[in-house]
Amino acid sequence: MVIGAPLEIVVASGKGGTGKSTVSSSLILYLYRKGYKIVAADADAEAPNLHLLFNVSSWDRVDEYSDAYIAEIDYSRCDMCGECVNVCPFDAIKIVDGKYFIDPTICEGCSTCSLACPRKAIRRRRVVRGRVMVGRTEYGFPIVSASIEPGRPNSGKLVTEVKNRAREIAGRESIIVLDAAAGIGCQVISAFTGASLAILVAEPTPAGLSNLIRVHEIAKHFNLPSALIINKSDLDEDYAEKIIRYAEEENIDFLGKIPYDNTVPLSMTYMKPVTEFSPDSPASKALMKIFDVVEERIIRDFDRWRRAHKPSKPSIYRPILIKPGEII
Amino acid sequence: MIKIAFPTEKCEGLEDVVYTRFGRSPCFTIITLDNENQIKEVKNIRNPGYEAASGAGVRSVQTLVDEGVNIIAAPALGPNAAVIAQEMGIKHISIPAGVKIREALETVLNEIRKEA
Amino acid sequence: MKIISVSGGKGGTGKSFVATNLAIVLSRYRHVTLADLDVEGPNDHLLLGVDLAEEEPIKIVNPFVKYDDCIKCGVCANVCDTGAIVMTREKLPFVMARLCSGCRSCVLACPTKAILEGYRVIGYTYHTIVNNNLELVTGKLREGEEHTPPAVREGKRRALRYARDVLLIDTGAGTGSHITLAIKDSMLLIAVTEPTPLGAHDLELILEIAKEQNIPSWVVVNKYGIGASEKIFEKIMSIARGYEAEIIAKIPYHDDVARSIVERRPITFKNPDHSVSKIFNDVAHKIMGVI
Repeated sequence: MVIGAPLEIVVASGKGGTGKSTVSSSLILYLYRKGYKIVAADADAEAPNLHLLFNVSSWDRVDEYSDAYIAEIDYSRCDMCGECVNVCPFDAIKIVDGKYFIDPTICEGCSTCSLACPRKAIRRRRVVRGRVMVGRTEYGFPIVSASIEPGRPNSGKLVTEVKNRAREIAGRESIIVLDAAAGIGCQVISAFTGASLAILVAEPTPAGLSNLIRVHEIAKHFNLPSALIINKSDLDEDYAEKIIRYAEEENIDFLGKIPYDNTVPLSMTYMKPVTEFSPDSPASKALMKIFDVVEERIIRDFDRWRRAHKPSKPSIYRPILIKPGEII
Repeated sequence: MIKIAFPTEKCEGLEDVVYTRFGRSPCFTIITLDNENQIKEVKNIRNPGYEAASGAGVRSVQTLVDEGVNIIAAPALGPNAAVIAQEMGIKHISIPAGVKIREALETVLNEIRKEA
Repeated sequence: MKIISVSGGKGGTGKSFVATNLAIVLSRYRHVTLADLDVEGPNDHLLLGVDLAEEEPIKIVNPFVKYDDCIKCGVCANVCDTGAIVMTREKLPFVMARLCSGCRSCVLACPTKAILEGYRVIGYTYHTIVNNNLELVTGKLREGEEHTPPAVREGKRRALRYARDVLLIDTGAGTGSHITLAIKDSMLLIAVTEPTPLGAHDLELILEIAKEQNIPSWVVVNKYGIGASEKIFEKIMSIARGYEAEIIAKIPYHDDVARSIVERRPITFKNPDHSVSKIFNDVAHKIMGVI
């Protein structure tokens, strides 16, 4: 176990629908039953789903997230010069009913329009964009989740809040398991920040491999050691092999395969992790075997595993910059 | 004169242990060495990055910049913190978490001597 | 020119599967431009079995400090709302490119006009001709860049350049502002969901976004037959009713579909007489009835 700080495991995949939530929910329950102190965290504020798999319908603590701003026009000062429309980097301003209107669903709250307005007619206002929730599951461990108002920007900041809250709740010896969002955008980047390791879930399809490579690139920016699970592995055994080979080249620890199993969506309907709903189903058996490996190889001697599975082809983020006046 | 910062959990100086994270460590132990590499001062400060909503790594580096630190001895720096540290001319030496500060200091000194 | 969006909220429900097959069937009757705006993980080209071509960079403004003119006031760092400007030991501003959203507040705020505008490439758009009547425009975000909206915006802009009769937009997963941007100005939203509680939960979010944008919605329930489909289908029906969204198709979960995905040959192309292909024919005809 890592000394002095909770172990943070991010379950990610790049592609949606590969089984992140299936894996996280069952992993969380498995570790909890093994006696670890667990905090479940949903790192997808746009489409939070983890609480559904634990049948959580009410929260102990809900905090409004109001570290977001939008710009607003004071129409008594506005003279319709249109400078705000010219400078807005997000195309958030348009004419509605003969007046300039800043679309609150697109406005990201920067200061550009207010700085540019010659009449000082634009002000920034704090808004409530979402909430962070903490609850306790019927199994006994806590869950942290968040939701952002549909259609709003900057969900990554809410994910950071979820992580902060999870760390507050977790003790020194705890394990935080984060169910990441799909993709490689701000929510996923926030999820990876400060994490201890990534468990990547891939499905054996062309898109599955392509998205795995992209999300692993992000893990490498953070120099995170990674492990891999192939879900719905019998979709295409050839592709599964391609993915395993990629994992070998990159020093990713391949943990195992899970076959396609209709019990998984069935368990979702009953709001339970599949290993709880049907422990004898093929998916559950495969998951339990994989989790035994996780506990033995990764958690029991994390420092050693971490050193053994550092990315073999490290990659750092390098911005592609075009200097002022440079032509590409 | 060299100033080395270690992320620590309890602000207990030389008897503390290296924390696993840099940006979100509760404390920093800053050790000032004189020109003979002897310990001149041991200082413990709270890390504002610990409670930061975001940008913890960057804030931590800035705090250490203000303290005049030239070396950060920590397991790892996140990508943003690494860029800032480099830009500010602060060196990063990687040391494992859980090690006592006293020991970690020895490792850092060895690294410094190697490069001299 | 009509714009139709395909979205869903939850990842993996089959948005891209529906968008690509719909594009193929529609292209038999009209010119279709398919825009793959799932910039974090575009897959349409993989489903169609085509390559990405005609790469063009997506650029956003990136500030460069002219240190000769800098008076070290620190206003730029204060006004930056993403924390991309950090003050060094010598009180000089240092720009962290990755965090910069390209808003230009620093450029405007600097009292000595010491901040100049350069650019940063955050991704690329591509244009591929799939057949006589079908073109694919793809947006792709560079790994490590986190500002998805500008990439979506640029992908959409490029797609509009080629759009003639129909612009079909595949938005990707999520319910953030990148989705709002993708579906803006659509005459119709097709929400693809799956018969699970997670699918139903996210369907509601996507219908809410469409409603806020005054875009009428239809619902397609994909992977019908998995889990306890009938039970959840009732929930989906009541959600759809609440948003006056018609459920226009139930696509059954089928091994042939999975195979077509791995083979990179869309089922409507490979097997136009398949029962699943017939469903797409019906949906396409319904669409033609309204455009």
